[in-house]
Amino acid sequence: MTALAAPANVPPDRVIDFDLYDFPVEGLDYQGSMRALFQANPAEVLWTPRNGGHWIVKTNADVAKVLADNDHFSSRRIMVTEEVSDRPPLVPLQLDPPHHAPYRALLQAALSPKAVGKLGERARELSIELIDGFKHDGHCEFIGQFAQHLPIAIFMEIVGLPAEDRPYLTEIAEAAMRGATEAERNEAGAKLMGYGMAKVAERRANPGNDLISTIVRAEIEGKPIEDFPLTGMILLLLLGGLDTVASTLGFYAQFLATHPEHRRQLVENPDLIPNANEELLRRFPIAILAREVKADVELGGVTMKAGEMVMVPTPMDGLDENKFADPLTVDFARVKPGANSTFGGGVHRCVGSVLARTELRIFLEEWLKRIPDFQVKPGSNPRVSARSVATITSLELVWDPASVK
Amino acid sequence: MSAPGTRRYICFYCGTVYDEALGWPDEGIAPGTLWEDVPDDWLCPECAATKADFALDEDD
Repeated sequence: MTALAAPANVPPDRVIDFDLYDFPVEGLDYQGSMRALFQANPAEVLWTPRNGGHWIVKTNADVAKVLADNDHFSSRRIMVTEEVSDRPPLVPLQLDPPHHAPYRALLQAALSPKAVGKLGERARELSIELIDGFKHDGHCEFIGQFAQHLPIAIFMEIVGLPAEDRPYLTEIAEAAMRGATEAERNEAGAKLMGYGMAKVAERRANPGNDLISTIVRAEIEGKPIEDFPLTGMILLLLLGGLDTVASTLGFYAQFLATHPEHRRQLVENPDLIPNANEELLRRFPIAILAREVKADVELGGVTMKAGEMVMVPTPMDGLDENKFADPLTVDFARVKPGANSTFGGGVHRCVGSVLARTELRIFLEEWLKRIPDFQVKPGSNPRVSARSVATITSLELVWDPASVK
Repeated sequence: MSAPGTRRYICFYCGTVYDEALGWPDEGIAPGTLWEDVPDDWLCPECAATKADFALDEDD
């Protein structure tokens, strides 16, 4: 291997050649493949020259430290990349405390356990409707027919967007997150912002009971939210709401399709589902976070310098054998699998996680009741596509129509 | 609102309840431990949210 260039503060034994946006994934095991690459180097903290050059934390303890330490790590930059983006910062995610707090409080009220309780029932109705719609066919393209439909439709109800816009929004959110080129991603991001701000203008004129109307009416420090942070807030809502649960559902479905014993366990003992939900979240995190070093700091035996970037892969918490024994194995009886960083951590922990957990649990409950046996269509070749969020782009499932309930 | 010693605090993220009357003996927090006496670095035993992510159950 040729020597890889690194700044003077990077010890040579910490350097690996890792490109987050182009590394080999074994089958659909994005998380396990990433872990194997990091585990190949025994050092606690690594550094790669790719994507502008950045640190990589790879233990549960370091993931937690970086996410919790707002004095040394900032979320003003949240992706490892050489690209320079001119889009507004995602609010409150890209604001450091205490500035993030009033914006977050607005979202937190709308996505609280109490608020989500009512939405959960709606998610259940819609799940049943979707599954009943195709269960007798004996096959479906899971991502398009279910994973991108359920959470996106529920999210659109929360923010009060018309159901007929769902295909358009799904397509541009996918392009904004994982478009092939920077230009494609920026163009889709601009379309998403334009769409969001048109809705803002509508709600200013005719407020309703939806979350966009709540944000438009809200005051922060006695003043309405200005258009620039408002755009960032709407964009964050659209990206978070349109993409993440859909992506997680794909990993759940591919696991269950390829593990009949696990499926049977949940069909025969549905009481295991809440813990199984946490265990699948632990095993299949989809988000790769990043933070900018704000002030020089020692971590894992190295000195990180202000201005450098640190990649924080959420899978490295749930897949750390020092925290969870035999971490690559899915064990629905595992004790407290939910204590993981799949939803991030610290002040920016995912505000939509209550809703996400609810939707994922409802999928397990309602799908397995109706389609207890299914597999990946033989000959189909599902693939993972990933930038800072990993997804399965297409997943053909088949089952015996006589086995449905 | 409930009196100290009988209050319940709910985790924002997973709904786990800390009940002052019950404490959390598995984690060394004795029954009757008031919320303000639970260590600040205590984490939700189910989902690892911080103590600050718990809110008083106003329905009590």
